[in-house]
Amino acid sequence: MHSNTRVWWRALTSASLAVLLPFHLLPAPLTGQSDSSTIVQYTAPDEYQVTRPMACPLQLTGGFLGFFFGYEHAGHEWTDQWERDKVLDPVNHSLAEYVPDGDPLYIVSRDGEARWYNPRLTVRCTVTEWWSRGRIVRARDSYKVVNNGGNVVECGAGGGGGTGRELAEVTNPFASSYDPYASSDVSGVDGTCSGIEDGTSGGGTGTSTGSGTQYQPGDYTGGETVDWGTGQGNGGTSVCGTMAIVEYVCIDVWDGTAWVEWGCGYVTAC
Amino acid sequence: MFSRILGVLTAAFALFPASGTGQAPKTLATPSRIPVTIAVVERLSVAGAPFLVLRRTDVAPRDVILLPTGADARLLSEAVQTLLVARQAGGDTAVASAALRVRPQRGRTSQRPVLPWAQRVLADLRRAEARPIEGVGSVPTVEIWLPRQTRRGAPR
Repeated sequence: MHSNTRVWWRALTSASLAVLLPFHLLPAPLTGQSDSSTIVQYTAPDEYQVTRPMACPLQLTGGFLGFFFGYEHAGHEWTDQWERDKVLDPVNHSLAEYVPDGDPLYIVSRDGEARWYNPRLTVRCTVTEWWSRGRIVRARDSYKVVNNGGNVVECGAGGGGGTGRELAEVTNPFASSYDPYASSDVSGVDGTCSGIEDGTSGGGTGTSTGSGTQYQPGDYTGGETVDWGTGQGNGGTSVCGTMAIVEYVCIDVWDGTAWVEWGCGYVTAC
Repeated sequence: MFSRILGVLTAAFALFPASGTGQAPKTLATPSRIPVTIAVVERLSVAGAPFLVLRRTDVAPRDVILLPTGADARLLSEAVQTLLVARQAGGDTAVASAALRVRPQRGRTSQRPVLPWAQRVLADLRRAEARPIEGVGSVPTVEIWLPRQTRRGAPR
């Protein structure tokens, strides 16, 4: 008796699914937008997959794209930090354009050999749900790049703004093009190119005297570094660029049992 | 006679070290980035510390950031910026071995920003194989490179 009830209930569930599923999917063709891409695939009598549009997120990262080594395009790997710039599908928000974080004019490939001017991705966002006996048992988001905007220029081929070799440096670790695994930010040996940055050189450069401006904690220096002891501008160029802000900090060292103050002074931080 | 010829040859080598190469003598380039090794440890040796920044003078790697296993991108960013501040104060190359921390006193009212590549480095770190780090043990590590902080030519 109990077994019969279970069989009957299963049959009823399948029948209700057959009735309700068209209603579930009905709005798709009516919108006339990307919903038309809704796909249902049966894998068993009461198991099926539904792939339908979903709203594209504000950020796409390596995890979203499914790999960690960067976005591959035109034979190079690029940053995997992208932010949504424009939604092209007003109904489902499932088609959107993305630009690299900060929307730079161009980004540099991770191998340092190419620049991508006006980088832009058009991404279609979908979700696939696995249904079994009327319940979602699994879901997976998918972000498919349907178009790459902008143009890629090989720096070794003379694309770096007229010359094949660039001498500018990528020094701002907060730049989307900063590659933490690169041991040098200066190109010139093999046709590699530099990042866009703000046109400043590295934190290790600068004039011998500096502006001498007396900065206070909380002041933005405009990119100049400060003297540890006085807080005066010393002519160095902060890696933070225009984000450089003066802080007064104390540094402690661990003596094995307790923190001991080593010294206090002025620094520029991002 | 022989010593005179030898003297002329020695002088020639001394005066024209680049002759034959067809190039000007190379100057020793100052590195534009300085490495730091990032490692994940089960337990930090200093209780209560969210992470540890080690600067060493006598063993490689010189600068090491130790993160706890559950570290996130914000913590890594904080640790990296701590090291950058320490390098501003003490030089890109440590002059004394120490574990250090930075205590902001004045000038910042907001959280430090998260480095855009921090998550990627953490992901790499989770996949990294353990390798021995002197004074730390055999732990998963990655090496990254940070821009130099001290001015070229500045006295340190």
